[in-house]
Amino acid sequence: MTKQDPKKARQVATQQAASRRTRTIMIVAVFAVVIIAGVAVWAAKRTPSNPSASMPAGVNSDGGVPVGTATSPVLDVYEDFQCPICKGFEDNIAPVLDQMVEAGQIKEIYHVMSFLDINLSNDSSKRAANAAGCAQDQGMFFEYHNEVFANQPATEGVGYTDDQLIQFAETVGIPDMTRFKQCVADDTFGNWVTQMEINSENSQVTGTPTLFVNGKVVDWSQASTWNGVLTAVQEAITAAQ
Amino acid sequence: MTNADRNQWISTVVRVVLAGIMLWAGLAKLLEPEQALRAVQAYRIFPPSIDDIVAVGLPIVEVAVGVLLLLGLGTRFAAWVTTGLMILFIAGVASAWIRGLSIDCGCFGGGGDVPSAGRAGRYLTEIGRDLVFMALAIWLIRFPSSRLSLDRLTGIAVEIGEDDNNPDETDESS
Repeated sequence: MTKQDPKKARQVATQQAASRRTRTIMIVAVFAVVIIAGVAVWAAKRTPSNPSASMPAGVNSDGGVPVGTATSPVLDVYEDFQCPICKGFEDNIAPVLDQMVEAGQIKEIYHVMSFLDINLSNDSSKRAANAAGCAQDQGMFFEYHNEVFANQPATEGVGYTDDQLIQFAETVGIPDMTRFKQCVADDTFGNWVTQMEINSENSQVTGTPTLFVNGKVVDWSQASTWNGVLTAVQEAITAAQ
Repeated sequence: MTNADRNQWISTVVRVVLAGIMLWAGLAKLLEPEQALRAVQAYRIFPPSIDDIVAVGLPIVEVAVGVLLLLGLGTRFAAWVTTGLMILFIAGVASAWIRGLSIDCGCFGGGGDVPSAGRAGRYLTEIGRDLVFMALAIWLIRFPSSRLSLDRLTGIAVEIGEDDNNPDETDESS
C-alpha cells in the first residue's frame, strides 16, 4: 500500500469502511450474546438452592433474630457488641422489655451490627456477632447476647478474645460446645454478620442502639437519663398497641 | 523476524492473558450472584437499587471484554474499556481504604467485610494487581494488532495509520 492511483485508493478506502462496519457489528453481537447469556446465568443462580445455609438456624429471611411469641408490636433492636451505650441500654431498658417479651406483650427482633470495628480498629464486633450467630444456631442467642453485654470491657476498644467468647457460651450453657468452638474458629456466620450490617445501613441505621417500634424509629434524643429513654420507649409501645 | 512481527506476537500473548483475567473475574461473579451483590454492597458506595445493577452489569461487561480480547475483535476498544475498568476498580478500593472499611475487593468472586488484620497490605496488593492489568491493557492500546485475531482476519489491522504495528511504518529488519 505505497503509492497508488486514485481509483485504487478509493477501492481500498471502501473496503476498509466495509471491514470496519463488519467489525463494529461483530462487537455489538458479542455484547448482545454476553448480555443475554449473562442475565440468564445470573437469573438462574441468583436464588441459591439453600439460602439459609450461611445463616444461623431460626433467623428471619433478612437475618434478624426473633425473640418472643407475640406477633405485635414488633421492636427492632439494633446493637453492636462493642457499643458502650448499648450496654447502658441493656442494663437499664432491656430488663423491662425482656419482661414484656416473656409476658407475650411485645416481639423483639435483634439486628447485630459490626460497624464499630472500623472506628475501633479491631474485629471484635464481627467476631462477637458471629459467636452470637453460633449461639442462635443452638437456640441460645438471647442468653448469649445478654452474657456478652454483661461482660463488655469497661474500656471501649479492648474488645473480646475468642477465649472469652467461648467462656460466655460455657457460662450460659450452650449444649454442644465442640460445635460452638468450631463455629467461632471457622467464622461460620461471617457472611450473615456482613449481611446484617449492610441491611442495617440500608435501613438508615447509622448508630447503636437504635430501636424501631412497628417500623417507626423511637426518638429519645430529648431524654437525658435512662429513665427518660424508658419513658420514650414505653410511650412508643403504647402508641403501637 | 521484524520488530513489528515481534510486537504482534507479544500482543497476542498479552491479549490472551488479559482475556483470561477478565473472563475469570467476570464468570466468578456471575456464577455467585449473591456473593457478588455482597461484595458490591460492602463498598457502601451505591444505594441498594444501584448495587443490584452493578452486581450483574459489571461482570457482564468483564465477560464481554474478555470474549473480545480472546477473539482479538476490536482489540483497541476492548483495551480501552479494560483500562477504564481498572481505573474504577483502583478508585473503589482506594475509597474503601480511605473510609476505613475493611473489605475484600471481590475482584475474582468473594468479597464483603473481612477482618481488619493486614488491611493495608491487602489493599496495596489489590491496587498493584490492577495496575499490572492496566499496564497490559495499555500495551494493547499502543500495539493492538496481533496474530490469531479477528481484527487481522477482517483486514482492519493493516489499515494505514490505524495501527502502530503497521509494517509500513515500523518495518525494520532484524
